[in-house]
This record gives sequence, structure tokens and C-alpha cells, in this order.
Amino acid sequence: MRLQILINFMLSRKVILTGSFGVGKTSLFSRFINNTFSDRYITTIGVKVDKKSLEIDGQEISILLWDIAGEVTQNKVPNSYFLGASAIIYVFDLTRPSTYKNIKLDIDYLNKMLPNITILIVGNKKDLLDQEKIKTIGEDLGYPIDLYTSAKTGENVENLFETIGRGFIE
Amino acid sequence: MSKVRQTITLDQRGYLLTSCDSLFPTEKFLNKDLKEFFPFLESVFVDLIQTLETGRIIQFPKVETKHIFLPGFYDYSFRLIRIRNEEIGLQWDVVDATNEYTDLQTEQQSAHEKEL
Repeated sequence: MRLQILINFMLSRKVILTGSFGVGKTSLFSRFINNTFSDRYITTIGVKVDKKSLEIDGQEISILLWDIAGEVTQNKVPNSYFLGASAIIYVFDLTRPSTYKNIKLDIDYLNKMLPNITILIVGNKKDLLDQEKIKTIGEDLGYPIDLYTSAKTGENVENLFETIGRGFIE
Repeated sequence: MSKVRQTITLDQRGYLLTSCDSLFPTEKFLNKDLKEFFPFLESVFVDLIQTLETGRIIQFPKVETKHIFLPGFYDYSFRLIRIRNEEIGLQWDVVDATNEYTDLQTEQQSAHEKEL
């Protein structure tokens, strides 16, 4: 019976959006799930879950996306939220240094709690800065950034989830 | 004021067995795979069945849902149970905390807007 369950769910993967508040996690969630965007900020207080299917190299993958309330540090997120996660997208706001000042501590914490899990670090709101400024932030951060996105324009959002999905089938 | 709680039991495939229907009717889900209707459940079900220790309760607070039949904020909790023929199943408790968390959301919204 357990084997049958595993087979049925082989192509569904839980992915978590996390990071500080106001960085655009819910906007990335809405852009990916519904291809919508709103300028109005509405705080998330717990978790929202939805899903969307992607086709990558002929393989269909169901992304079960968890949009978690922003916390200043990751150790404030309930541990249960991470159960069964296959990947984490750690989002920060390129325009607010306070959202990436704890990046090393947060990633260390997530790596320790969820060893062997894929963590992607994403700088969001790239539409608000020029390329030179984004490059400087990346260099100053001293931490590898996987992608720069804009939930507002949609830039790199599809790419982000395709990158994650590709990791699941490789 | 006590909160309304709905207790649901599922077999190890995720099929609905029983429900007290305190919050939403489940007649249309009877003998169906609930994971197909609840992405939340789909994303944790296998891990709950495979890793949850008997007697242990795992809680997921502040789950926001947009289901037509269940809009609002809820606290979820799960525990393994024994069902027919000693088979393992899952008990899922859904507690309506919409009023409490709507107030919390208003407070948090205000605090965050000051910082943004």
C-alpha cells in the first residue's frame, strides 16, 4: 500500500516560499499560480497552499506551493510547515537590506533543519532597480543568489519554477 | 467562546471515511480521495502516514483557505488512528479560527505597513 501511494505521488512536489515579510512571496505565488499581480500589500499570517502543473521535457510535475507568512528570522516559522518539502525558495527584497541581512543565518538554519533539500535564493522586485545596482547588491551580499525576479512584471518567475521542476526530474 | 471543530477521518489512501460536518458538508467527498480537493492535504499526506508516530499530534496553525465551502483561517491538526481491521488511517481536525486570525491579520498589516 505504501509503495502504491509513493507511485501515485511521484510527480507531486511540495515547494515553500519563505523569507521576511513584504518581500513579495505572495506576489510570486499569485504570479505563478494565477499569472496575476496586485500592488496592494496584504500580509500573510500563516500559510496558503495551491498547486499548478508544469511540463518539463515531456514530464508533468505538480508543484504544491506553500506561501508562508514572512518572519524576520526563519526559526520563527512553525517546524510543521516544512514537513515533506522538496524545495525552498528563500525570497528577499532587493530594495530593503533588512530582508537580506540575516541571509546566512537563515540559510544555515534551513540547511540544518532540512539537509539534502534544494534551496534557491531569490532577489525579488528587480523592476525597481537598475542592473548596475542589482549587480552591486549581489557582490556585496557575499552569498550566491540563484535568480533575480520581478513578480510585478513576471520576469524570471516562470524560469524560477522551471528551474525547480527540472531539479526534480534530473 | 469555543471554536467550531470538524473531525474528519481518512484511510491510508486519503479517501474520506467519516466526518462530523460541523464546518462544511462532505457528502460529495464520501469515498473519494480528499487529496484531490485539498492541495494542503496532498502536499503532506504521504509524510504524515509514513512518518507520524502513533499518539503524536502534528499541528499546522493559521492555514488560510479559499475553498468556496471553507473560506477563512483554520488550525489543522493530524494524528494517526486505527481504523477497520487494524489498518492505519488519519484523523484530521479542522478548527475555525477565522475571527481570531482576521483580527491578527489586521494588526499585523498595520505593523508591517509602518515598516515598509
